[in-house]
Amino acid sequence: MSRRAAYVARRLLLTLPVLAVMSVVVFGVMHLVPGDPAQAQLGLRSTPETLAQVRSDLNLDDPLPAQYLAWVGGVVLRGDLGSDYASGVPVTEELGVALPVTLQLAVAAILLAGTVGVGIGVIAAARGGWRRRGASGFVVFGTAIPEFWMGLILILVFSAWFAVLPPSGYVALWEDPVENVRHFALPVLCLSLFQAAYFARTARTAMEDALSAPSVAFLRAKGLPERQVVWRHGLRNAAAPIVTIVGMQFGAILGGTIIIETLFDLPGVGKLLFDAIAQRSYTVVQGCVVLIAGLFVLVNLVTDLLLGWLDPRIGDGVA
Amino acid sequence: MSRRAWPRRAYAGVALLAALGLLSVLGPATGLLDPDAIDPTKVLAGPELAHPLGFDSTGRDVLSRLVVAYRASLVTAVASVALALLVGGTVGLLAGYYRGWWDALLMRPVDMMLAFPALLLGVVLITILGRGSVTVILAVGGIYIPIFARVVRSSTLTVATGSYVDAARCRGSSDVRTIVRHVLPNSIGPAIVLTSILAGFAIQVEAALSFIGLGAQPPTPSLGGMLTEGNEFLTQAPLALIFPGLAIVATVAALLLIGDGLRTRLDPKGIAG
Repeated sequence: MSRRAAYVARRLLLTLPVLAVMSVVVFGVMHLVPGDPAQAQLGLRSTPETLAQVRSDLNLDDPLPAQYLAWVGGVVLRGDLGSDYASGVPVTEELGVALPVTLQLAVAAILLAGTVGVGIGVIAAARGGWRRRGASGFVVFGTAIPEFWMGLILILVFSAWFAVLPPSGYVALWEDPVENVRHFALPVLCLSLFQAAYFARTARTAMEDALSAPSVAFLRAKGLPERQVVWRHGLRNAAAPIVTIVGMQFGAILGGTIIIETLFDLPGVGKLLFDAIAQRSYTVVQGCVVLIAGLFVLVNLVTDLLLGWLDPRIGDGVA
Repeated sequence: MSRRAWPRRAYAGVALLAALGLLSVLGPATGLLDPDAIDPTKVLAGPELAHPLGFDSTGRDVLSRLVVAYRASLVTAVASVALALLVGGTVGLLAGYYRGWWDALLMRPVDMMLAFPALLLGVVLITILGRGSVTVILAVGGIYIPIFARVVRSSTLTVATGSYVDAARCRGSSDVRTIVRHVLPNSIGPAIVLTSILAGFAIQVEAALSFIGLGAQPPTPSLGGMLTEGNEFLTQAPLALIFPGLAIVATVAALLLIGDGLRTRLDPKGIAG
């Protein structure tokens, strides 16, 4: 148990330098982009006096390292990401509203993709024949279809032609669960197709490896039903690479929300980021990138811890 | 190296890609296609014999625009993957060959880049560099640099310990010569597989970025831009939405099939993932 605790502690410590460098990169974004944040905040109303005022309010006259420390200090100590230039609302408040939307979208997509993809992969590896060929086709075309184009086609079919699902918009889960699901159906479907294909491919390879192990031959020889061989013993041994890929792809799903939320007009973090870029509201851009990158680091951490639990050798420092 | 047969799917991929490439090269040569000609009487008009995909919202021929946009997308994808292969491959080669400090120095930034979701990285890069056809190449290339670096490093690590590499060094071969003549040819296989697969994804990413207005700016035709427009008039002119997407799907599928075929020959250990 103490070894496991040490592994968890070491893994937690390792995320610190990643977060530190990430903060430098995110801070750099604001200072590398062409244009003056003070000018952006004031727009056309600026005069030399107001510009100077805003510059000093935003500490833009300080040396860069001092500005960085002030910004990081604000983020870490007070959870303060600054305010949106355009609306004056604190960025944390905007993120707080947007995050539940993105989380619902991403979690629903990863669950759907995980269930369908791993299911297809396992069946393809265990049964072979037409199921295997069908799975190969699913992998190639599921991967080849761009998710936003799939979104457009789904809108065309389900909203324009058959008018059964809304093409865009958002209803909170606690306000109207049925409408919420209807609004999320198409975006979740889009985001999960590519991932399902990717998971199917990984699961198939991992299962083929797991099922060719001598232990599986023994289980079959002692007469264990094939269903149990595959789903209980095979899948457990194939779980490590599958979990790794699912964790890694969670980041891809978070990135994909930028396009999908914009397309379906869902007020999540991706849409917020997209609008902020268009309006050059760099505090919001920074906040969104910090949040998405932070979530990504968190998911990678959970994935690693899960791997340590699934495969005790990893936790013991062998791998 | 074992001489395994090419799988049939790889031939299907090559044939599909060759057909699409030929169409996009020969199409303009026929002189029948003009992506900029405007016929104001045909705004959003349906297909006719000379214009099988109909017209867009400005009265331009959708097929002509599709062919030109498709070629631009191919060029962007190839250029960005070539950039990523060159930069990422060099980084991976040096890190895997020299190890130690070089490895740490070169690979930590790579790990940092991998810690960002790919599309987010692309969006951030474009925010920094500004919008346009060239920055899309840099942004998409930037997304794939860390992936090439990882894969080439891991194949170089094994190759560099080979006895033939030691033998070359003992014969007095310089580092540059050893890397170029002995290490590179043996460690590049997985990267070639990856090139084919990522070229396909690069087409998707480029289309996605230009779809949200971060790619090539109008009036330059781009597949993503065509889809943005198609989206506005999706009920009136669905063909303008369907065909650019099908072009992407067919191209990516072809490149994936080729990648699968290359894998059985060049990357039997599956380093390219």
